[in-house]
Amino acid sequence: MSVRRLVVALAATAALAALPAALAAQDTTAAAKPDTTVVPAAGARDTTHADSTRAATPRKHPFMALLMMTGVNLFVNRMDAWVLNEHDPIDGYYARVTPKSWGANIRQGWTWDGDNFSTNMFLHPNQGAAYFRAGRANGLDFWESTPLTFLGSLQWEYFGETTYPSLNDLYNTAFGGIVLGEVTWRLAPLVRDNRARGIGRLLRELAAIPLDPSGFVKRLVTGDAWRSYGNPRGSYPGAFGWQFQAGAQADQADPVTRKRPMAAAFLAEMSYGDAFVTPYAQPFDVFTARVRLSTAGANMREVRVAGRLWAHELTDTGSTFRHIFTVTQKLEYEASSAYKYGGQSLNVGFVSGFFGARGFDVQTTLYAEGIMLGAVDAPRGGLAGTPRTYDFGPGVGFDFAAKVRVGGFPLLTARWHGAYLHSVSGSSAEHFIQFPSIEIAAPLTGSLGVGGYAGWFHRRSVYSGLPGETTSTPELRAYVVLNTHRGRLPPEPEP
Amino acid sequence: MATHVVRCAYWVPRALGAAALMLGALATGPAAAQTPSRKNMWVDAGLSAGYIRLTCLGCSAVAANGAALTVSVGGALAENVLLGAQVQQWQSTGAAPHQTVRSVLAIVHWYPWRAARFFVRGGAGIVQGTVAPEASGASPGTARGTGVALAWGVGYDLNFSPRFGVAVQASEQIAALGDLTVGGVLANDVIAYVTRVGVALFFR
Repeated sequence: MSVRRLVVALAATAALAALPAALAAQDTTAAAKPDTTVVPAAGARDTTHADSTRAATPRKHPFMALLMMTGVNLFVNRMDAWVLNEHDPIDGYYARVTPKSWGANIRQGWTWDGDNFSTNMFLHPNQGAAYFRAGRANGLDFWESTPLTFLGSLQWEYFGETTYPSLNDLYNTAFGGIVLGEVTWRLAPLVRDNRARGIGRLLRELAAIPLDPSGFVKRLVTGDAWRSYGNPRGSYPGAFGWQFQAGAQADQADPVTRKRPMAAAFLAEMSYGDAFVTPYAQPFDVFTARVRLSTAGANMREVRVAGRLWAHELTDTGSTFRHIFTVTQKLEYEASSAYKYGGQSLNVGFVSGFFGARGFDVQTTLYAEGIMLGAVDAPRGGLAGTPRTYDFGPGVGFDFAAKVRVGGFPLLTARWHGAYLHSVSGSSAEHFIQFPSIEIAAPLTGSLGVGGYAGWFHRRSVYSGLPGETTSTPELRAYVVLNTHRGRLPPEPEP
Repeated sequence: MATHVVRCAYWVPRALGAAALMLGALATGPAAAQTPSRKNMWVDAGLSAGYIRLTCLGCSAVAANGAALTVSVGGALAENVLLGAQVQQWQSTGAAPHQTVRSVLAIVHWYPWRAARFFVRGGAGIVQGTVAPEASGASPGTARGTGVALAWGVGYDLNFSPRFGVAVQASEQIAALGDLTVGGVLANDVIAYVTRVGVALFFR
């Protein structure tokens, strides 16, 4: 298991995307490509068809999606076995599968693996995203593509590795793959511009590869990558926002030297759509994605992606106070030298907003959280003799956040996230986790400002037959913040 | 590590064979040729024969026969995607120890082709099991655990009318129950597999 697998998975989807494209090119019975320049009726936004390479009403190819999903696994496995010659200190040459290893995996059944946190909680969701996009690339909608993440993961666990099938991989690949797969699928057409020419066009095409490698190869095969034609209707979110932070962070003081380690920290948060602007039409027509990097310890400190699955407005869209009942799916990954927490969850709750004069608004979210599988590290957790230092388990939680903004610039952001995990692998424990945090920013210009963050991680673990223990970790950051492209977008431009 | 797998009782394949013959006969009628309709609420209720297999770290794998009652209800997200909730109770039918596995899952049926009757079924949810893993050195006994479950399987609808019929289903539910103390010995990371094959009356 390594970062190389992620790269290989992306490459695999890219290579295999050519297959359906080539077959479709030979399909003379297919209907003529509809005119994508037709402006849809108001309110008829369909963001499920976000691929600029496809027609507005794509033909569904479930068999081809299954074939592509299988191809991803085949490609990744053979790359690991033949090219990268992957070797793991514990699992050995895990990619050298044989019918004998398949039989052993089927007979043994499922177990829990001992891989490290980033492999299980971040890389596996990325592999799942490749399965999901195999469905989307072949005309399946969001819900139709979700089984592919499970099927792809099942296939990989039984037949892609010599190690026994891992239950935690199945959860993280399948549920995390849905989140990352749909998000990347929607973003790719926003990066591309079918009207652009020259170096700008090339850079946009290249920038979209990590988001949608299959789409890139498809565009190469069909010639869409250099052809000038209308941009697709449907991937336009209606509202969009970026926040970038760059600054310094101080972690928990070293118990021996009593010095707080300092490091550079960078954060990017993207808001696709806006719960108060984008009427619910399809899953993930509104989502947020947040990535935080650091120069110390675990370089990837935080990944949080949450997408709206369903919503129903409870108030009038023109009222000062608005409340929207919302269901979201979330992938969460937090890693520092002091703690690790991650999981796949389904959240149900309310998004509320107060909209005052002169651009002043307060937005809150309050969710009850059902955690399909969470992971948290603990001194008595994990599997002995493996890199795994954390427990796995289902759980419940809550997630409350409030944001005070003026002109779209967040002045105050507070969040309180709590979770309870019942360990089913690792130690026999119940874990109680809390993350209260507050961010304050002062604008210097319309977009630029300075800010500070204070957060606190607290875990209390209760073990069966052993004394419990707690840990608390503060985290401080000071930064320059840039809020850009925020708020409601102008009407969708002509294609 | 010794492995003891209790084979399915001989009546299980016979009963399933008889059921399949009966359903085949029913499905050959003209009603079976009607296009299935999946547009609103749907309900499944069925019986299955199946067995449980238990594994844990440092344990012998054990298995036992049983039967499961499954009820599912939900709505159609699309004509080929059904979303719902499933309640299932499996219990052992052989000699002691008496074992049960109960689960509540969110469930999805996916028909790869809209007009097709074949579907893939998957779900996730909460499980509670009273099971008897064989930890090394432990005396026989059962322990209760609560955890998380994943289920998947395949099925085929045999329609008597566009919305009513019988579905033949095969599925596996994997329940992670965590650490259980059985006979004074800790069984680590217990996983219970409930594999079942059965029939369910449905209304779609």
